[in-house]
Amino acid sequence: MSPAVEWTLFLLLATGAIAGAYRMLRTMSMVRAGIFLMGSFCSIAGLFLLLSADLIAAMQIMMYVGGMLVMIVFMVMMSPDPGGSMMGIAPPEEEMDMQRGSKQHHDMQGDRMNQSHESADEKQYTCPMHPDVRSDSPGKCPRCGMKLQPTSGAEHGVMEMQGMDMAMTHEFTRPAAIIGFIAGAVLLAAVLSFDWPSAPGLANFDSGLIVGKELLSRYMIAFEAAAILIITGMVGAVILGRRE
Amino acid sequence: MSVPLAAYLAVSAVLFGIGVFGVLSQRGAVMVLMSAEVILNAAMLNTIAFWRYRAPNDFAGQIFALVILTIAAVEMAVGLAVMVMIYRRRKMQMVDKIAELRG
Repeated sequence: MSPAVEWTLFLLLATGAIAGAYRMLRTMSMVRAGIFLMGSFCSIAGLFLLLSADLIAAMQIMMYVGGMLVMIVFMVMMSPDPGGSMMGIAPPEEEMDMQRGSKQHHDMQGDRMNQSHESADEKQYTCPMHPDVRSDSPGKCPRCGMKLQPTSGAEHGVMEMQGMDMAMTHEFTRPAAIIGFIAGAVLLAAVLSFDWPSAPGLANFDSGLIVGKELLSRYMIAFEAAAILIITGMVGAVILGRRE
Repeated sequence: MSVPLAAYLAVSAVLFGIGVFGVLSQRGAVMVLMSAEVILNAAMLNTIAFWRYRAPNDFAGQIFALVILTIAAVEMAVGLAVMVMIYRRRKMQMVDKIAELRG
């Protein structure tokens, strides 16, 4: 592989991996987040191929991308709002009662209802990710391209509607971002400050064959440990998930 | 191999940072699990990169990656089972509202 091709592939795949993981956290829809993460995992599988670890790349696709599909099904089943479309619509009453269930809440709710009725005639649209983006007509957010949602009052600037909080991140997002940034930056600084030696040539390109043989001879213990781990996990998941 | 090892390690450092941010900032339990998968993937990318650049003829690096893959799969299965249980009992899955596992 010529250096130009290798660099192009590497940059494409690295961008895909990082952008997929980042977009996963910034989208409002859980299903879309799952699909972004699947894209990120596929790019990482491509990076494994570039590193000539073909068996790992194939397993990455089979286990992670297949696993993500299962995750997406679970999200559709369990999340109250997998598509992010309820962001501007009031939830049904039972759900709110379950969430707060107080008399006082009913009064509050009444107040809010009145508020939203008062301002219903002046309909505005806002982006679920950028609450400061406002528009008089439906369309796309100029910053992230997401569909604008209708608002019905001032309280929709924060993403909490009438007791049921739909936001995907909590209020401590900024400290979390700082910690994540510091963790990444420290690792990045450590990586870049060290002078890594260049790669030796590969003696055997059929790494899948050798890994298979090694797994069943020299590294049998890893193979068996993985098997025990999977069985334990399976039994645990079944016990946890059963209905009593 | 014209792409240096540092480039792969940099990608995985960035992925790790994004994963840490996700685990700390997301409210949905599924999203926290998905962010943890990003962290594990960063670790795996590191392992494979080190295998290729440092010891390509000793396949322990790839076997280590396989073990990480197994752990990720088990983590996902057990995590989903815990979530199904919590969801059945409390009809919600926002981690910042769940302070204890006992039903």
